[in-house]
Amino acid sequence: MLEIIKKTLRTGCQTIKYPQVPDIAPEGFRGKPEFAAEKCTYCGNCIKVCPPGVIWLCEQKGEKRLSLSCCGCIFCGRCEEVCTAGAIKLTLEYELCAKKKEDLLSSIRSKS
Amino acid sequence: MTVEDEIEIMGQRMNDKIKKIFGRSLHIREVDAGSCNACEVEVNALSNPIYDIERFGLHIVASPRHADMLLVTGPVTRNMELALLKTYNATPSPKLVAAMGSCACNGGIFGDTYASCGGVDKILPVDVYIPGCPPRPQALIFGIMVAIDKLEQKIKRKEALS
Amino acid sequence: MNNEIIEKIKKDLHDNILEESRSHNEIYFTVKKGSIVKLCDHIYYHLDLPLVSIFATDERKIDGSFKIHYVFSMDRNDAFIILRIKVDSKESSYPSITPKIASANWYEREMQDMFGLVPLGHPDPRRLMNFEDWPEEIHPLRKDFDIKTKPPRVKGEYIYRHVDGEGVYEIPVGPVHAGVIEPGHFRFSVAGEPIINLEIRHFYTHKGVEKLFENISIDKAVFLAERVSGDNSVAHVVAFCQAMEKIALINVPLRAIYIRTILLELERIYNHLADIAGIATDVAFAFGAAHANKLKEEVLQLNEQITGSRMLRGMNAIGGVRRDIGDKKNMILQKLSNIQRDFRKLMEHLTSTPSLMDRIENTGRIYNDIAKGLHVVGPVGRASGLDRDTRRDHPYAAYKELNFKVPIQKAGDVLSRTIVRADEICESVALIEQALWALPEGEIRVHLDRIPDGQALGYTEAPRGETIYWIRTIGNRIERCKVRDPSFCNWLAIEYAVLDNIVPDFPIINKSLSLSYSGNDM
Repeated sequence: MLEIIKKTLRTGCQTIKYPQVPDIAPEGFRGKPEFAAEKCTYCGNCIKVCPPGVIWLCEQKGEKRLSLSCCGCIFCGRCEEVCTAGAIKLTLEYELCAKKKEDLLSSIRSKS
Repeated sequence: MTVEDEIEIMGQRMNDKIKKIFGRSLHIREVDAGSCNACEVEVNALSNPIYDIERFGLHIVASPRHADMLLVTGPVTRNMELALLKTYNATPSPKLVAAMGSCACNGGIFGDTYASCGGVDKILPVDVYIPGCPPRPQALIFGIMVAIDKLEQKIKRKEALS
Repeated sequence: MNNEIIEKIKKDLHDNILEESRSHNEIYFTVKKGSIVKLCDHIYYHLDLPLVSIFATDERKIDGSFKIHYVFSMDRNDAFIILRIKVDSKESSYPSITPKIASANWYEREMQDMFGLVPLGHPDPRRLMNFEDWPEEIHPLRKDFDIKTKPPRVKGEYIYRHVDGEGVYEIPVGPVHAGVIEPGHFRFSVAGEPIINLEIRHFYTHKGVEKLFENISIDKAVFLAERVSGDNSVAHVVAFCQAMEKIALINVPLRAIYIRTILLELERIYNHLADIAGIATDVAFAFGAAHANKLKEEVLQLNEQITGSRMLRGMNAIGGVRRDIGDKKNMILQKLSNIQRDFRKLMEHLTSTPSLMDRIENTGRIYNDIAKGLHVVGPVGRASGLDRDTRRDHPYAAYKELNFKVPIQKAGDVLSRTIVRADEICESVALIEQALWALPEGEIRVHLDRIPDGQALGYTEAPRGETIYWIRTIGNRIERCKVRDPSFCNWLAIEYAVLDNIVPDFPIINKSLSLSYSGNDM
């Protein structure tokens, strides 16, 4: 018993302060994928490799629109890996909760 | 107000909000509707000494009849569909449904197949989506906070109606 | 490979062999359908080779037949013997080997549901994966079944085994359980407190993974393999990648092989810690549970720091690994030595707590003959005296170059399983240290554009035990991928482990077996 008390006192409080204090994910963490609109060439490589298929391209009146839904994203980072233009990056952002599915959608568009 | 603003404000008033909202304790029932069990590892992590969600008055309970919120993981398999519906019906109103993990949100890598329905929202009305494969425990705590926010709205709406 | 033994086996099987082929360490014998029971019996009992997997393939497009493969492991020679029989699509039936070899039970029932192949003489021909509300003629793994089909729900009934007698009553549990665990149904027949019969019913989380493998491209399939059983991600994905690498005949860079070994062992550490924490929780020893959970969390955080994912996901790829972890060597070494020091102390506390020891000693015994007969694998098997470990018997990754012991216990109770796990954690830490010190310089990945046609076995020792993948590729796609998770073998043992134990001890026994529902149901 004494040992247990000693060990407990020595260990102290281990609980992290999140959410009062923000917690930054470690470097290398695969969080929310983000587009860099100016770099994107709309080649469609990311669409081909995405395992759950949550990246898609629509074309309307000469305007290309590339969308990504974080909803089914498995954060594998394949899109980042195949993007030769470096237009998609996985950020450290992990607080992705949303009340509506549409809120998890991010898209970029181009006039070509 | 966009979601980003909403999250921003939430971040600023994190302290107030926790005191205000978490004053009322929330009981969570986790339902595995066919996940790969990584989400379960993270839900279990919530009750370890590092995250210790009990300090907010959040409890993971053993029965849906004691729960305010269902935390559903997995793409909802055909074989679990009925069990999930029964669990939902056993939960007293007002209730929340949170879809945890990418497969619960829209099927993820398992998609929509003969054995999988492709997301919880095909079966139940979902209040919050918590993406991640699996979401970090911190992301889960954040998701539960957003859910509580929604519960407040729900209760207010109900009061206004009656 | 030892040719003498192969020649001996060939002599034993003599005129029953129709065809023979070899690739890598796998020897395929196509044999006569009628002789399969006799041959399996001979290999299993006389040559004493464990049956590690049975699976079917749909080859009706090629020769109008299904093939059934029986995989036997030659532990002492690092080889596999695969017997293959041809089942005509018109007949769709074959003699069952379950009456002779008990561990074949679920495999044959699985093939009955997935392929519509009927095992003649099977003692329990009930449905397994397709529930009672599935139509009769649905066989998802047949090639003419489209993955998007939504079969209608029909009326049906599943009949449980029933125990009759004075004072005997049933306790149905699940599929939604009280704890945060996966879904499955348990039906206890009890007389007072002691359990006199337990029937398990699973496959609630059947997600059609094997069919999905056939319908996605190979580079995406890597991520699917990671998600077959979430907490055994690395073991599954490494088994998958190794099978692919065998087919493609590529040599994975040494550095990648060592990194894989480190990841595999990190996974083992956090899984075993979780099991020990679970046992402490189930006996209501809060102090032990809190400390074990804290240690597990430390490993998960370490995982995140070195790979970006707490479950070590997204690291493996066919041909190597996607990220280097060499620059974090000192950090890993330091954290692990802290974790090991804390863990040793924790184990001292646990084993000196009478309230815990009283609950786990002599609880949930799996006797050696039961473990052997049901082909119980991994730490559970080793706690029952089965001296098998894929890392040693079929060395893969860097295990051939590293030194480690395989802990064995004889008693087969919860305590033995806990001790085996505790010893394995210490071995794993030592393995990671060795691998980090020996980490060779060089590339971490070779890139492949195309996987040639072929077939191969991939195998790893997951934290739960032997994991086996059999993959056949045709035209840069997966034609068939059979996944055999360790839990598929170990679930059968729980029905025996709980006998004569009391109901409140069931959670502890269940936890000590550490079974994955998702890996089992797929």
